[in-house]
Amino acid sequence: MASWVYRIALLIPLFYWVSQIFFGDLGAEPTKTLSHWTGEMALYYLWFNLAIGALIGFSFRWPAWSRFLLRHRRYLGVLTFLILVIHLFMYFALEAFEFNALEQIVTKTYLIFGSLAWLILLVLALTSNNISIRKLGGRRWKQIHRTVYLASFFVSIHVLLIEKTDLIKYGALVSLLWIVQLTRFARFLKKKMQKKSGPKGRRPKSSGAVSPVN
Amino acid sequence: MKKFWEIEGTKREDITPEFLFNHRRKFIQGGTLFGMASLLPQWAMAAPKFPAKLNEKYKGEKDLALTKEDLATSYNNFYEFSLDKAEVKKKVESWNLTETWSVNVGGLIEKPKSHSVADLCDLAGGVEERIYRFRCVEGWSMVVPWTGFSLSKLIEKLAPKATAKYVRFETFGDKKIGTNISNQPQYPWPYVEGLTMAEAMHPLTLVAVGMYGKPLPRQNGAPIRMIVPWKYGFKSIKSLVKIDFVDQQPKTLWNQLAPNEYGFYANVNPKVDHPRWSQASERILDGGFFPKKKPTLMFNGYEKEVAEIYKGLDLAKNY
Repeated sequence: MASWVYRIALLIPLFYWVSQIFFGDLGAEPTKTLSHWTGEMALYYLWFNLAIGALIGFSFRWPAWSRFLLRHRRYLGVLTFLILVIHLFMYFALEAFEFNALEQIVTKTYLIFGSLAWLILLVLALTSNNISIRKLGGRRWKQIHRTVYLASFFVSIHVLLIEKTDLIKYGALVSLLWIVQLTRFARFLKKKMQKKSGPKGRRPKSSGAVSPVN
Repeated sequence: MKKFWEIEGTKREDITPEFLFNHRRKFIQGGTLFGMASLLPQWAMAAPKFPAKLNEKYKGEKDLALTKEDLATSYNNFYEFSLDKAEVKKKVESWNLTETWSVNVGGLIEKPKSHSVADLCDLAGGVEERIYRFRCVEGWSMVVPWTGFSLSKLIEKLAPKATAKYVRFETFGDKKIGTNISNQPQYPWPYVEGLTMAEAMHPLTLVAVGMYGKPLPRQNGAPIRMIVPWKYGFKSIKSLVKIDFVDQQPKTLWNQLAPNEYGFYANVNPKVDHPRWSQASERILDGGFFPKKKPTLMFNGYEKEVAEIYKGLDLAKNY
């Protein structure tokens, strides 16, 4: 039950956009509005997804809510990518599907970074299923899915370059993510050093779920 | 014999047209008919008459359809109120324009003075309607009928000194009016723009007080703004409070923020890309889901008129 509520709640932005298309006011450039909304929402979802990993990484025991969020992490990730598919479609629509749109993708810096992130997330979305995990093996699957951090780095650049007007908001969002992630990385390094000097570190018991917990 | 209700010296032209009367009524809801005159904003009191006569020289081209008025008045880059173009219209509601609006004209001229909007229109010899293309640096464009006068006519009356090389324009920086100003401390408020003297003297350079045959709505830069049709929209500063004649290139807001993206000239030029996007074509603002595009014209289609000003200037460097 809770799972369904959570999964449907994550779809609310999609319902909202569709309702706005039919009944709302998307302004003088509806396509632009939607490309912005989808980009912003995908950013929030991606950051939320990484926050789940961080929260679990920081806590000693895994509470029930973290197992709950963990179980639906792949769903959240695939949903984020679907939103990014709409995001990219809106970009092409905005450029009236002209060849120029492709030309800009490979020449404009923020678009290069955006596309690289998109491609990484495409691979992650395509492998976000049980068959892929089985075929690749848990370890390798995990390694591949850690590239989400690289994608997030590209996303950060993409966002900061295009959102020059609202640098405070997006600067805060991007810094928050990287402060958390760098703290995690520092802890990870510390643990590794401790392990070398003797296995004293208390490690959480793995529940078998796949997650990039460092 | 004069009737008792006739006021001394009242001519037909001085009577407020019905449209403006209704327009003003919105400002003074709850006010009684008596004492109304004292409540009226000064800029509206002797405001120019709307709609003004269309100047046949600037009636636009047949293939250019006017942008729908509700689109042009609901998609506004006015960061003093919001960074969201669709939100500006709602945010300006709290701006009480009944206050006296004056434009401070100073710098290198004989008599620096504060003028009412009506004063300025009078000084320039009245207003007229012109249909101009408008190209935003973001890549969208519209076609709008503006009401106003050539800045050159005003400048002739103001008699700037020979040392004046540029005109500097300034918008209000009042945080009580522009409720978003304090949310964006990274911007060097107030909004400042500038033109070279040759650009300012060009007859196309318009000081606008209205659009679509009505006074400017607040979101479009009421009560008085600039329209420089061959430049990107951000050069056309809104809600003027100050005009200065200066001898040095004014430090303009966007140029200070991102000099590699927004040059001082900012002439519409399909061959010079914005670092983050192409300027070769533009989206026609039509409210549709799949925007149509058209090629962007050199100087926004005013090449014949203005190319002269930039003779010998490298436009790729001086973007």
